[in-house]
Amino acid sequence: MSTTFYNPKYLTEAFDVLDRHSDSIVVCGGLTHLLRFYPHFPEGPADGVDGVLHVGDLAGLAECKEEVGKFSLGATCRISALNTDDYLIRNANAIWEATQQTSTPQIRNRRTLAGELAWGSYHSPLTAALLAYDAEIRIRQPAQKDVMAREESCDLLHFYDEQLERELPHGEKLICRKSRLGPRDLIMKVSIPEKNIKQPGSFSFCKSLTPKISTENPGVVVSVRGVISSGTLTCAKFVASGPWMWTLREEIPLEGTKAKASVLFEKLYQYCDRYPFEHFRREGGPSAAQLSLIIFGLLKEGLTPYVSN
Amino acid sequence: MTTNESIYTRRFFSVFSQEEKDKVRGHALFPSDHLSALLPAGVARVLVVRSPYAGAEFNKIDVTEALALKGVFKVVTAKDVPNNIQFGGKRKGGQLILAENTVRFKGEPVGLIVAENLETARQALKLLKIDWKPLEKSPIEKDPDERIEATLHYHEGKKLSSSLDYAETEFLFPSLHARYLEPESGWVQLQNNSLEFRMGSLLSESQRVWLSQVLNIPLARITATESYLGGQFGGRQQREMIVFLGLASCLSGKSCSLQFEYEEQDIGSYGYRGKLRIGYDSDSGKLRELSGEVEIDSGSYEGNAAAFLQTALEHARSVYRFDYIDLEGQVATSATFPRRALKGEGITSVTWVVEQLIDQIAERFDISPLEFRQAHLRDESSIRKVFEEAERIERPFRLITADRNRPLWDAKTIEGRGFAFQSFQATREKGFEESEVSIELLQAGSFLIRCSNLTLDLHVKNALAEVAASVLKTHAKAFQVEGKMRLEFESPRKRETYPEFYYLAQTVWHAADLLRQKIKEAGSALFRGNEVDLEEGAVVDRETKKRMGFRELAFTQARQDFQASYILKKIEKPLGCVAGAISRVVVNPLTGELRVESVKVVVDAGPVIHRTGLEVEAESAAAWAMAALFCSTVERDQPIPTPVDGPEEVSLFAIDYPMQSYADQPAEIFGSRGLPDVIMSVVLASLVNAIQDAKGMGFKEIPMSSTFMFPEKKSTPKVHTLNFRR
Amino acid sequence: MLVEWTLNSTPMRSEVSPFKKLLDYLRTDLKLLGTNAGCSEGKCGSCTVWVDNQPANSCLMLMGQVEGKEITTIEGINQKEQFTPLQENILRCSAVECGFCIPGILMTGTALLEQNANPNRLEIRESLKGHLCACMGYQKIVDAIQGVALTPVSSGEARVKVKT
Repeated sequence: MSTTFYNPKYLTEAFDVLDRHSDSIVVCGGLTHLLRFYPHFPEGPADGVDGVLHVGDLAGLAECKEEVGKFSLGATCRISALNTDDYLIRNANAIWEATQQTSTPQIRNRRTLAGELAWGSYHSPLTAALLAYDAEIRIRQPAQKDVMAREESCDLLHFYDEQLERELPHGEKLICRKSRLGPRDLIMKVSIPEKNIKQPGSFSFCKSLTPKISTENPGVVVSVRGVISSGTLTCAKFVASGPWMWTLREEIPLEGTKAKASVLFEKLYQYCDRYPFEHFRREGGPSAAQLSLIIFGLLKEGLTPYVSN
Repeated sequence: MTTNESIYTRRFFSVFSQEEKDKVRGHALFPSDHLSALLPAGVARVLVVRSPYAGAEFNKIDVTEALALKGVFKVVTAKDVPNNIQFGGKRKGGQLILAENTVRFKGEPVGLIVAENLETARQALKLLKIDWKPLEKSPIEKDPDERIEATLHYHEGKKLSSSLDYAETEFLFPSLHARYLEPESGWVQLQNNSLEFRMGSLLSESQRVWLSQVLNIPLARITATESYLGGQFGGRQQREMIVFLGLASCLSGKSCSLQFEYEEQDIGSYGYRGKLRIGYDSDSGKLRELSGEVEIDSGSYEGNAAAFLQTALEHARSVYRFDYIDLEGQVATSATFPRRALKGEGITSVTWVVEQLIDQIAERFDISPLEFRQAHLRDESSIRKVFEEAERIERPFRLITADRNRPLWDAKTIEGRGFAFQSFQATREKGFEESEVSIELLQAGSFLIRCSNLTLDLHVKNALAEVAASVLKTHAKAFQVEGKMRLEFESPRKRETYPEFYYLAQTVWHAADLLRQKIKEAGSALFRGNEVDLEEGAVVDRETKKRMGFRELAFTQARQDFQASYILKKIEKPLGCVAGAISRVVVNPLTGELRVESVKVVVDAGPVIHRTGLEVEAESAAAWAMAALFCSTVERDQPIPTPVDGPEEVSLFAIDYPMQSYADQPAEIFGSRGLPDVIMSVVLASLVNAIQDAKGMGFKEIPMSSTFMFPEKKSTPKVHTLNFRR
Repeated sequence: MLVEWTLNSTPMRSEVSPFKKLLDYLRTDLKLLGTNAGCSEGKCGSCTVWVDNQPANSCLMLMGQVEGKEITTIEGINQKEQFTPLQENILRCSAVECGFCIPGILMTGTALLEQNANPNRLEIRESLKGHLCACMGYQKIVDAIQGVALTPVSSGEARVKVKT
């Protein structure tokens, strides 16, 4: 069976392909994941499909802009473009840091935001950072027989519901987050509520522990978004995930703690020490006790610029 | 540098060699380039059929359907091989070229498919029928006693009667899965019944002889031309490449090409494990005894493992004085890919263990690591020189003592520093094969040096050029250096492809000296019999100071008048070399993150002809050591450090020797043997000691395990502290 | 499929399978062998080219994605009579051994210097994160890139190291 490559210029053309095609189609952005893991793509993941829809260069899906009550990141924004976006640099440090830590510069120049989210790596710094911001993802579902095409939004955390085991060409298995995307669904954008960005005293960071001799696999990624007001920690949401652990998103229960190193870090240490990381730990990584220290270390590194001595 | 650079730049030729210029422009042609775009029409593609099982038997390979596929020219199995002998190794029972009915490892070659292109070959592979009978255990694992192929023993001195205290440890040093960037590739042109190989390396004489035996064709019909090399550097994989290409070509009647797939290249080096112990006086800490057992894992077939194990045993004592050495070695097989030698083979596997034990003993007596080592150095001047230089370099720096009793939430990063030393024991060469060099002044005014050696890397070539330039009083960049197959020289040379700079440098010197005489004679004749000197790329009349450049001179005479050859037949005991390394690391006690800050290497390699080559060895050693230590716990298939893995700084300090002294007479020594091995071993060992210092505990296994790298807490109720050794 | 694109400033119209990799097309069809094929999975950086003046792995691009793009290879940045400043510095710093990684590193290094005329050593190392050199580490390469930005201390002085 031969496979057709669709490379529409405009969004409407892409919608048309998705609406008319059968489910035997693969939507792709930069192809940095698919070609990396399936060098003979469309063989491999696209066995039995007869269409590949390339949306990486679609006009209309790559814009980052302020909208009413939120900031939107276009689905086909390249990671490198997010890295140089003024708004993100000024207001969403965690997302900016996450883009710095994603893979390599060459891949960042090609990989799209949607591709990063759709692939579902547990070690994606950008996914962790967006989760910390309670980002929402907007998806277009195609027209069905008697149903019009429609768009719906959901919390990014709920965009993933299970694990997916990808079988790679040489028999290895890769465990990723399984998204709720159907074969002809299209990610349109990711939005961050304005209230999570522009609050006075807000801070955020994204830190990862990357073992050496590896370009892609941070063992643990941690991202935090919070507010420090009048020298006190008002709130902090933290997300952690990686090849060593399933996704965790929690409010750190230290509201009201003085944002002073000698006070905050001891309490943070106690919190991490008591946290049941054994429920999140994945096979093959450090022990739960080790994980708690590592995560504490990363949290401390991220918080240090924001607390007084 | 032997000439004034600015004078030289007025000459017409560039300061950079053609090879370097090609490489920065992307004009260098690598073997894989030939396969991508430069093959003539009609060159077939070879695909190697490999066992999917680690341990299996088979009786029949049915090629009928595969052969019937359009575009398939030949399917080769063991029965087609004219002489199905071993790949190599001194003992019997080694790996045959194609397995006949038993395989020991997953990937063992059992056949070749020769087809018009790779796609067709892959389809033919699916049509092959092999009656595999997988074995529950590999033939090697059936009988544990069968694992051991050989035992070795290294012994010096007499066992002491007094009782000693011991520092001991088990250790495990991995098989390093090294891959270079370029996939191993090559092709062979079949023309008039002769095979001309086009690969990254030339063929050594022993490879030609072996191949002619396998194929049952005359030696004269086997030749090679060389490409630039971006991939593997010869050795076992090159043997596979040439024999499979040769077989495919001879049996199909076609020129053939071959590229090893990704999985086929993941070949590991020899692995080592064992137990080493150092005995010392309990009151003074004086080192007395070194003993232990070392086992080398050669993979499924023994290969040259015994030789490398012998090297490991001989070098276990490093630079230290022991009254008694008693080391047992065993060569063992395992059901894995046959191993091959990599950088620093043998020496690197034991140095880090011994150096760790030395540090532990020093610490027991509360003596600084350098001071303790100084008291136990062997009395050899080279060792003292390197040690003193290392001490001088490190003296201004002191580590801030870490407060290891801080509560964890207030923990700061901890620095560690490690030292290591090693000395290469160059033994008298047994059956040293002659080294031949020819050198020629070309009409362009530049020189061509041809060495009877193979796989010369760029820095070896530059160093040889420096030797010749010093003798001929011109710029090193005036020399192009080529490796040439032995058949183009006078007498056959049987040794393998390993570049022996030490010998080549001496041979180049003598050849250049002979050419110098010829140039002087020609110059003198042109200057009416006056005496002449060579100076700045020209011949100069001593009396009138008139000059004639080499280029002009080359036009005046026949080409053969400006050609000289020299064969180095006799060799004194080569000089070994001594190196030391000092490494610094920083550890985050919370995340376990480990950063290598600096590596300093001190080396006594005799007069350093080409400093850049030594620097490259030091930087390369740091990269390999990082790969060995840190091979990621998360992703293990890419053992090459990235630019952000560090170290930030690698510095080389070479012991100084006067450089000009060999212009008119050959130097007593030209460089040393064993440089890459020794530098690799001390860099790795110093990093190990630095990590031990920072983390407060030694480690037995490389790469570092997850439990070693990532911190473990003690579970005391309120205040958590890390208990490090004092 | 007909793909219209620009290669080294030359407009191209290529009838090619959209699923052919850009790297393979450059090397096999166009015989531009300066871009090397190493790992073929986006790790080693040997295949780095510019896509709309941004470094990218050509082994991770299909020809179908190249429509409308401007692709630059090492052949496109070579100058006729002389070396580029970075090529010259790579030579002066003896940063070449086997040379397989060098074209890719040159593409990334040149792009970096066009964006940032004076990168520090950490920035240089970060920008080279997508390149692997199996021969000799990166110190000399970092020296070479940094050396382009800094004024030589004296004529003939090629290595300038600044601790960051």
